[in-house]
Amino acid sequence: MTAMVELRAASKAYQGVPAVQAVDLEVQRGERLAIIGPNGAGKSTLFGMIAGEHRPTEGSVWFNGKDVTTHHSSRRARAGISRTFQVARLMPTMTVRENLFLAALTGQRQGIRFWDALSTRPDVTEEAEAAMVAAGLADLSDVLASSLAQGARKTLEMAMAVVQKPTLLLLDEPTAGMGYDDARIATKQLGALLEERREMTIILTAHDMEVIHSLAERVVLMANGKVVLDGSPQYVADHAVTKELYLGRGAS
Amino acid sequence: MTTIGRRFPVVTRSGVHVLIGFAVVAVLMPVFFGGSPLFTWTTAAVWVLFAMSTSVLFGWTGLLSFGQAAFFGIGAYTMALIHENRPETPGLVMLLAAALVAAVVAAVFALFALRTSGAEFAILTLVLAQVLWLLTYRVSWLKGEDGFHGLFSVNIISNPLTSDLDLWYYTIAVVGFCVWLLWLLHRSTAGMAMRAVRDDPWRSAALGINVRRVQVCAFAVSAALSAVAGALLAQGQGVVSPGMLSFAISGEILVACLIGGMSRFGGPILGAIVLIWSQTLISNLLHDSSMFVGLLLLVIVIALPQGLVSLPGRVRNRRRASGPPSIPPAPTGSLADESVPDGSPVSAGDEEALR
Repeated sequence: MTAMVELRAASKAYQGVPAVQAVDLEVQRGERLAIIGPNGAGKSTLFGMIAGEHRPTEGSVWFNGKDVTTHHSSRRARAGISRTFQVARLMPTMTVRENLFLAALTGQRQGIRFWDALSTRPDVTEEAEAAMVAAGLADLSDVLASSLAQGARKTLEMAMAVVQKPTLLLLDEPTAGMGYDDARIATKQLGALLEERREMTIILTAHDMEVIHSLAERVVLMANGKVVLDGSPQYVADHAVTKELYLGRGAS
Repeated sequence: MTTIGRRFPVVTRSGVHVLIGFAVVAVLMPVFFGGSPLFTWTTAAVWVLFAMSTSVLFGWTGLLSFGQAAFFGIGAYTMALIHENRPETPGLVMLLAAALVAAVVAAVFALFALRTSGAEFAILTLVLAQVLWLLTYRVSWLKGEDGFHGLFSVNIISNPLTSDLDLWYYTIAVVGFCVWLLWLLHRSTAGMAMRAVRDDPWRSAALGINVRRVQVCAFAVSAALSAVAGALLAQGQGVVSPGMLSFAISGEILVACLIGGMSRFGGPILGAIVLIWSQTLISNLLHDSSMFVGLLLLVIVIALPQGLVSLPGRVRNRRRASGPPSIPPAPTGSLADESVPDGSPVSAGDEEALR
């Protein structure tokens, strides 16, 4: 069986400065993978290469057995990749409801037409309403995204990503910017959501070990643009290299 | 609020009220105005269409164009050239031709220009308009400074326009129809995609919206309708000159959009009417109206950053805020609208992502 996502010797350099160096990575359908590593390890770049925002300077990216290296992010999104951003990106002049409507609409792949009036899409409306209720955002339905609190922004972005019915979901720091308690609640909710949608493949980046332990089944540790460790969360967490990278030399 | 309404089902109106509104205006205007004022209203109607088409780009899609006069001028010159070679051509056919020529030029231009974004893009649009402006002087059959004259007696289909009243009905009908088309676009899924691209091109791309395609389409639609406005003005005034391609025109139409405000569909309509009428009335008193218009813009930008169209909402909010303290003002809605920078150009992004 072909892997769902495959990076082949993928490298990315910014004006000659390498960020990711010849990474080989395979992610199977249904896997839950966390990419961890200290700041500047190349996590975000690797993430961007899978999502399509960064094109590798060398090597290739494969999705469902197809070379998608040159495909831009919108094309990859239409192929079934959804993502969240470290700092949630929403449509600021649209309400919560409209944001979800837009996500549900684009999730149908052929949703955008000049001759399609918004009012003629009750199916999309229903989907968006259901997603709003499921995410616990019903009370905020008519609030503009620009005036949402940090936690609600993250929740909305997650709901938008899920309502698109992706086969691959990329979560960039799902609890970044949250307080400890909020992060714990969010992790719990996210865990329940992902358990419900076992068919989705998940790749996430995170700093928080608690997030990783509760959401990931496989962990890749990156440092200096390379994959250093690859294994179960327990294996990576207990490894001397991890402790050294995170806590400094001599901690182990 | 630029978006699709606060309630679901999102929109139920088919835009019939837009058509009815224009029909009422078309019938009533000649009752109250005649002669010169009616002609000013006719000019204002043309500018309403021009402003609306500019707002498709600037307000809805978030692309700032400093060269909108390019398409206004293309429309006028297309009309003039057709009129010179085949004066019996129906006026509506001329308008259609003007729209097509401008749409093609705009689409080709946009494919290249949209490799840049923000300020660079705005400069490129300015360059386009300036190049076309220069061409009118360099290319002999465009007749340089003199331009084209005597383009009157345009046939609509077979009957020629012979009076200011005819011209008014003809102009308002075309403008009303075009604005109605824009209304449909605004309320379509494509219109929502445009606003999405303006709001956040990165999120749009991540949702699977082809950002570049939406921008090119918006550019073509905007150009086509600007060209219709240009051709209409040429038909009404009977003159086409390089001035129609000048930077002053590009600037004025942006001013009209800003005065009216682009956070609502009708903002540019209001802006165009206020601009044309203030220019006309002030010119009657003073020699030059530009200083007054500049002052007006200054006052509006400071006092009403969302344009004149946001005035009723502001008054309502103030009244609500000063009402009995037991009812706190709603935390959402149009209060929050004001913090949203509207029509801001798309910020520069990674080229790879937005292609």
